[in-house]
Parts: sequence; C-alpha cells; structure tokens
Amino acid sequence: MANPKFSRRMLLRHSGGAVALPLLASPWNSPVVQAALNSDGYPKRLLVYYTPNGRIPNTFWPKRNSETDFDLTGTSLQPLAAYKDRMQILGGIQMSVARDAAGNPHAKGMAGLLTGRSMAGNEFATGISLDQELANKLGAGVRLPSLQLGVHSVADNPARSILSYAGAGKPLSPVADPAAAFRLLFGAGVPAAGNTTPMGDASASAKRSSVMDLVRKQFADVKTWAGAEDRAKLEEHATMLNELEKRLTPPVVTSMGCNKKPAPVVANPLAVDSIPAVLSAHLDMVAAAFTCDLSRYIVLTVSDANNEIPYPWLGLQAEGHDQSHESNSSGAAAMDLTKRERWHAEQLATLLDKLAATKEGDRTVLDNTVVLYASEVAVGAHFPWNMPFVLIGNPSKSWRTGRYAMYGAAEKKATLTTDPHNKLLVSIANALGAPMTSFGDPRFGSGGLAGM
Amino acid sequence: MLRRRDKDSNAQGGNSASNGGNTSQGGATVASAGGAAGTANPNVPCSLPAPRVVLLTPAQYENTLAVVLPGAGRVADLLSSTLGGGSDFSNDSTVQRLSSPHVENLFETARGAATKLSGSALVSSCLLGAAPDQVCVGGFVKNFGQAAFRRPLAQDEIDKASSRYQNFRKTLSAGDSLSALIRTFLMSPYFIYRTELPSQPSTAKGVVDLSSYDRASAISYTITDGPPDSALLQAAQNNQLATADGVAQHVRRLLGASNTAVGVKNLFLELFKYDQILETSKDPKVLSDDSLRDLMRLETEGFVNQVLWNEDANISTLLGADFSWLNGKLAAFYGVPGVAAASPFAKVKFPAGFNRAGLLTHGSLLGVMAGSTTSSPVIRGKFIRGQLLCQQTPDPPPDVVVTPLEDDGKSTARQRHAMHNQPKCTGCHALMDPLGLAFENFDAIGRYRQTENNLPIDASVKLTETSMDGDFKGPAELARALGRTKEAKQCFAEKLFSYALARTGHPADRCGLERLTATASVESGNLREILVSVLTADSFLRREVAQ
Repeated sequence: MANPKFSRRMLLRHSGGAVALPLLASPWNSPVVQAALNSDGYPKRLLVYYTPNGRIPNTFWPKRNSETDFDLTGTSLQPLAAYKDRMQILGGIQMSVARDAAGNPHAKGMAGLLTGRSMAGNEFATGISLDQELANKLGAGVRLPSLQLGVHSVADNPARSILSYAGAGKPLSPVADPAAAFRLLFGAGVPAAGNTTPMGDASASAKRSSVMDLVRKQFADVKTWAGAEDRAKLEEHATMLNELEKRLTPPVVTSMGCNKKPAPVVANPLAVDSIPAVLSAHLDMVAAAFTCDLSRYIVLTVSDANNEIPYPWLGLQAEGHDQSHESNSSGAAAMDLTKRERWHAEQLATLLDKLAATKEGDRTVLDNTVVLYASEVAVGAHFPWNMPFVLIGNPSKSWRTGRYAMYGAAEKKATLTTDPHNKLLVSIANALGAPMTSFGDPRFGSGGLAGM
Repeated sequence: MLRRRDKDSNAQGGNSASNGGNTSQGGATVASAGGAAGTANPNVPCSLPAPRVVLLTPAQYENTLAVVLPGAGRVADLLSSTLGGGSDFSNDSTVQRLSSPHVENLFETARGAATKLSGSALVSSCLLGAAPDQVCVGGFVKNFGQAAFRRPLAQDEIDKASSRYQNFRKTLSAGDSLSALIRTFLMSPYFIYRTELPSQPSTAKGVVDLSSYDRASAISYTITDGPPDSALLQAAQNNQLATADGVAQHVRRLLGASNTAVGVKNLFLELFKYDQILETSKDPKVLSDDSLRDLMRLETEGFVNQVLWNEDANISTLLGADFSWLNGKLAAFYGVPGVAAASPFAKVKFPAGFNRAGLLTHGSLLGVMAGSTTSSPVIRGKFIRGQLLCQQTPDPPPDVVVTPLEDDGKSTARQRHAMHNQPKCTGCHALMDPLGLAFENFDAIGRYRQTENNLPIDASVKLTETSMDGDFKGPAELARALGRTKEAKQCFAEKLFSYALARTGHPADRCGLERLTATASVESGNLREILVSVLTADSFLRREVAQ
C-alpha cells in the first residue's frame, strides 16, 4: 500500500532519518519547533476523525475482560482490528463542558469537543480548539500547520458543523471541496485535471501579486471611513488575502515530487451522493499532507451534528439524526446506524493502511500520528457521559497502547467529578509536544489521563 | 441551497440568547422591540449606527455577477458552502464568518468568472487589439467598473486600473491581461461588500447621509436581492435619493411587483424556512407520496405572493386568511371541497368554518415543525412564540436531557405534554405548549385529524401574554387571533428591520427599531407599508461618524 508518488521518504532515508531538519524548506519558513518532532526527528501529527450523533453502545463498545483483553469482533470498530495493538479505547470519560450550560446538546458537544469549553449563545465555542493551539505553538515552519476538512458538513448553525476555533467565537469552517483542499496544501502550482493553465508559473504569480496590490489598497481605503467593528472585519479579510497569496505561491516541495498528483475532482462536493467520493479524496489528502509534512493538525468532520441525511450507498434511506433518537439499543434504527459506523471505520482504515505502510525510520507515519476518533455526544439521546473516544497511534512513544481502559462509570450516574475529556485533550497535547497541565476550562481537571 | 434546520430544543431561529439581549432566564420573556440603548423621547433623534460594509450574500453576489459577466454562471451554492450562518437571515452580518476557506472561495470564484467574458457586452474589440489606446482601455474600465461597483469610478480609479491593464499587456496575452484586470474588480471590497460611504467626504464627526449610490444599492439589495437597476442608478446620479420622499418613490416602485421584489420573497422564505419540507424526514406511514412536499412548498410560496401583491399585504391576512394557493391534488389532501382534480395552482377560498386559516396551517410549516412520525407541539409552540411574537423562550436547563416525548400509542399529545407541569419545566412550556397543542388537529405532515390513537383531540387553548389573550378553539381560530396581536405586528416589523439592516440585535439599532414599532404602518399591519417605513428611516439612510 505504499504510496510511491510521495518521495520524501527517500529523502529522509538518505538523510538517515535521524536528523531533526526543517523538512520542507519554503520561503516563509521559520525554524521548526523541536518539541513538535519525536526523538527520531519525525513530525508528530494529529488527526481528529469526527462522525456524528454518538454511537450505538451495544455494537460499538467491545466485549472487555480486562484492560488488555478485549474483542473487536462483531463491533463497529472491527474494521480497525488490524490496528488493535496501536489502539486505546477510552471508556467512561465524560464531556463535562457539555453539561455545563444551557443550549442544544449537539451544539454543546461540537463546541466543546476540541475546545474543552462551553458554548455561548447556542452558536459558538468560547475558546481556542486544540488543533489551533497546537498549530500556534508547534506549527512554525510547516506550510499549513492546521487544516479543517468537511464531508457534507453543512449545518447552518456553525456550532453544529464546526469543531475548530481560532479563539472564542471564531469558528473555522471546514473545506468541503477536495480540489480546494488540494490547492491549500499544494498551492495552485499543479493544474487540476483537464486544466492546462497552471497558475503556479512565474508570470501568473506576478500577475496575481499585481492584482492583490490594487485590492489591498482598496481595502485600506474602505477602512478609513468604516466604523470600528467593520474596520476590524476588513482588516481580517485583507490579512486572509495576504495569507492566501502566500499559500498560492508554489512550495519548494515541487522539486521533491511530493505534489505530482493530480488534483481530485468531485463534481458536486456538497451532494449527499458525493459523500463517499469526498471522504475518500479527503482521506487521500490527509495521507498526502502527513507523509509530505505539509500539514500536521487536521480535523476531518464527516457530516455534521444535524446529520439529517440518508446514506443511500449503504441502502440506508432514513435520516441519521432521526434514527439516532429512535435507537436506544437495538431495533432497525440501531442496525442502520451500526452499518454507518462500520462504514466510517472502514473508511478510516483505508487511511490507516496508507499511514502504516509509510516508514519513518523503524516506525511508520501512523505510529507518529495520533488519530482521535470521536463524536459530539455519546449516544442518540445526547448523553455526554461514556463518550466514544478511541485513539490510534503513539507519537511520543510513551503511551501504553492495545488497551480498553475505563476512566469512570459507563452509566448515567457519573458525576461532574469523574474524568472530564479535558484531560484527554491534555494527554494528546503533551504527546504531541505541547507542555500544558490543563486545556480549555480549567475547572475541568488538571493533568492528563492516568495510566496512558 | 436549502438552509438546514436545527432540531431538538433549538428548532427554529433558536438563537435566543444572542438576539438583542432581551432574553431572561427561567421563564416568560415578553419583551420584543426596543431595549436599553434607545431614547425614550420620540422627539429626540436616535443616535445612529457607524458606517458599515455589508458582505453581499452568495445570492446577491451571484445576481451582481450575472449583470457584470452574464456568462459567469451559478456560484451562490459554492459560496454558501464556506460562509457560516446561523441566524434567521443569510445576510446577517453578525453571524457571517469570514474564514480562510471563504476568502479562497471568493478568490477562486473571481478567477473562474474572469475567464468567462463571452457574455459581456462591455468587452470591446479594441481592448484585445495589438496596442489598445488609452481611450479604449479607459472606456472599458469606466463601464465595467461602474457595473461592478454599482457607482461611477473616480478618475484616479480609472487611471490606476487602466495603467494596470497596459502593464499586464507587456508580459501577458490580451485575454490573460483582461482576465487579470477583471479580477482586480471582482476581488475588490467595493464588489464583495455593499458599502455605506458618506455623501460628502468628511472627517468630522456627526450624522451623515449615505451617498446616493450607496442608498441605491441598499434599497436594491434589500428589495430585489440584486444590484440597482438603471432607474435607481439614474435617480442616484440626479440626486433624487437625497430625500426620504425620493427614496420612498423607488422603494414603492420596486416593492410593487412580485417579480422585482425577489429579496422580499427571500425574506419570507428565510423567516419561515418552508422549503425545508423538501428534506424533512417523514415516515412513509405518515407521508407515502413524496410529491406532496413540493406542492406544499409551492403553496406557501404562492400564498405569500398572493397576500403581498394581490391582497391587502396585511399580517392578519398572512396568518388568518380564509384562502390558500392550491392545486387539485393538494386541495384534495387538505379536504377543501369544490376544486377539480386537474386544477392548477390558484387562489382557493375555504368554505365557512373550515379547519385551516393562513400560513400556520400550511402543510409545509406544519410538516417542518414536526417529527418523522408525530407532531411536535413544543417545536410548533416555540416557533410561534419566538418567530411570530418575538417572545424568546430559553433553552432547557443544562441538566435536562432533551428527548422527544415518544408516542406511546395510547395517549394524546396533550396528555403526554402534561409531564411539563412541574416547576422546572412549566415556566417556559406553559408559554409554548398551548400554542402548539392548538395545532394538534394536524399530524406530522399537516393532515387534518380529529383523533390521535383513537382518542379525541382537544385543540382548545388559552392564549396568554399577548394583546388578544383569551380562549380559542382549534387552529383556525387561534391563527386568526395571532394575526391580530400587537405582538405579531411588532415582531414582523422587527424581522423586516433586521433583514433590511442585515443584522439582528445590534445595540446601535435598538433606538431605530423602537421608533419603527411606534409608527402607524406597524399599527396597520401592512407588510409593504412597514417595509417602506423601514427603508425610509434614518437608521437605514443615515450614519453617525464617531471620530
């Protein structure tokens, strides 16, 4: 399953694989943060793989005899069985932030999942999300430290479709179109399939910067008379244009052959029927981003917390969200949703196969990555306890993997004092090289999870 | 693109806490328009908002692009995909979130559109010649720029863009140069935003009029969802929009016909979200014929048109009309007698004492505000309180796990909802549940019924906290009463005001909203006249410069 198109591996093998080097020099590089690399000099990465509306408990949680003796057979995690020894299933953790305030339970779960903070106004999280915190602290020198990808994540209310926040009330919309994600990662230097006019050549760059110059001046002009609130908005827009221009400049990586892959084309990326194609293309993008080290902290949302869609390619015509409310433990709705969960896991497995097939020293890209497979609620009835958290990978080599741990009670009597998921976020951050003792709302725990 | 519905406790427009700060916790909230920041004395002018830039909605962007570059095609859905929302209205600048993906999306859209010049009458052949002269280039820039910016360009803007084109030509082909030039217009803030420039350039603080061209755009984008037409631009050039009367004349002209008032139709679509009936999940046992969905959408669309442009445009008619817009098939589904099976959509008057009246009894709204198999009195009641009466009810307390009250197959919804009679719940549910229970004669797809689980449905309710409080029996009676409440009139005024101002609940708008709700047009309940009042008010036409 190795991907021969990405040849940074070869480069690293030649460099002995033990040098912590700025892997991909680019014009705006600042020095790589040492803590972001593991002891062999390879980058440590995070993928958050989100799928909506909790899990069907009976088919999700494996049969468990002890922490290290559990059986994935027949569960919706079975497609990931090949990675059981690199997996940590974390039972009994609760999302305390989602119990903390009024508001819609799905929205609270989305807003709190990566921020560790409660939601404001039924719309937005009240703090920065972990991926952005990591990008800020550790992402220097990486082309696109963080990336948000969405597969039909279309809910109107941002708190229903967005997990990443640049700060309180600053949601980062996921990219829906794989072609757009491709351009973000690789610049516009490679023509999309069927397009014969690459934008990455020198004259196009010159033209672009000339266009941008004029537009920048106009933004400055408008700013002089707009009110204070809108001045800030215009400034933000202009900054994003500058960043865009920087991204559109082709990366030096071209010469290493890391982007000799045609841009993906999905005709109608927002259609329900396109979900399998978009997810597959996005997962390819994650593989490319990690193996070429173009991005390190990626959040991939599959559908959104509204999830009012059928999965026709699985023969499932009912809407997921409605079914999640009808699916206490068994019955037709639960069976349907289990099929969806298995499918989500199968798709994730295709990515893990690629990451595990790409060597980094005597380990693989997968080993140097932490995949967090999660949802915004535990089950269709919205409970925020016994959240279905699964980790795969061991970037700092310090974790005890191959276990199914219990961090609290699985039933609803769990109180606010059992392990909150903020501790999980701290553990992930520490493993990726960001020293911190708490993340998000400091009321919810300090330190990471015990026994990791 | 269809706007998606938030479900569960947050059913429709459920951003209570963020809208204007009038929400109180733990019980009835019966404040609507107005608030702290106004001035109580109606003779003292309100302080006005600061000059703004208002991002064109994806639809407005597409409509503008269609005028500038007719071959550019449809781009609104793609632009919507990266623009956050979450309010009643897609133009709400307080919830639109610029993001890197959206800025990139705008960039790519401009890039794509700039290559599609074939449809543009503005491109003259002299431009593509070997050495285009200054007159040719300047002429193009002047015309194209005016179309793109919805105002004449200043001479130095023409000069800068022209010399940019000549520079491009030194290294690029004529086609590439032209597309680069066009991108400078399409990426400009003057294209992407609707601006509120003062009429006189001045750095002094104080109240200023919007420039005539910005007034033309403000009027046009609000009413037509597109750029100003030639009559409006002409009026701006002739300084005829400098007075409220001059503005009113054009507002009435554009509001006068349903084919120009696209923005107003969109306002009602976004407010009631009736197109969501196309994608609301329904159990086949409840709805076996999916073709009814689109008929229901067409009913509400046609009904709103009928009320606004062929009837009295009054809120009481919108909510209490004894007619609807039906074809034979939908009339049969509703049980309206005397409509031939093959009859196309038309105004159909209900017989006396019929069980339906007005918008709230349309299958579209009833179906959207219901579950897959059962009706939802809470969602229906919350919608009426929140969206029609502007009486927001807070979300459930944090320790309540929100699950729908399951139909146990042996009770009525009224019996099941009795569980809300406990201290933790009743404060809000006493406000919401009765309004929803009045519509229990309509099942999850709006089919009329007299029994549920073989038990008789009691749809009599007590209306509280309005100017029309009293006992009402059944949906038609309650709908007619709601349409005559002072609260509904003021609430519609608030919604129209928010749509026109392209934001909701901003403190700087409160005084203007307070003044609006005191006008005779709001008292009259005439929706078109309320819009005229909104669009001729200082809060729409003037701004206050702070420094």
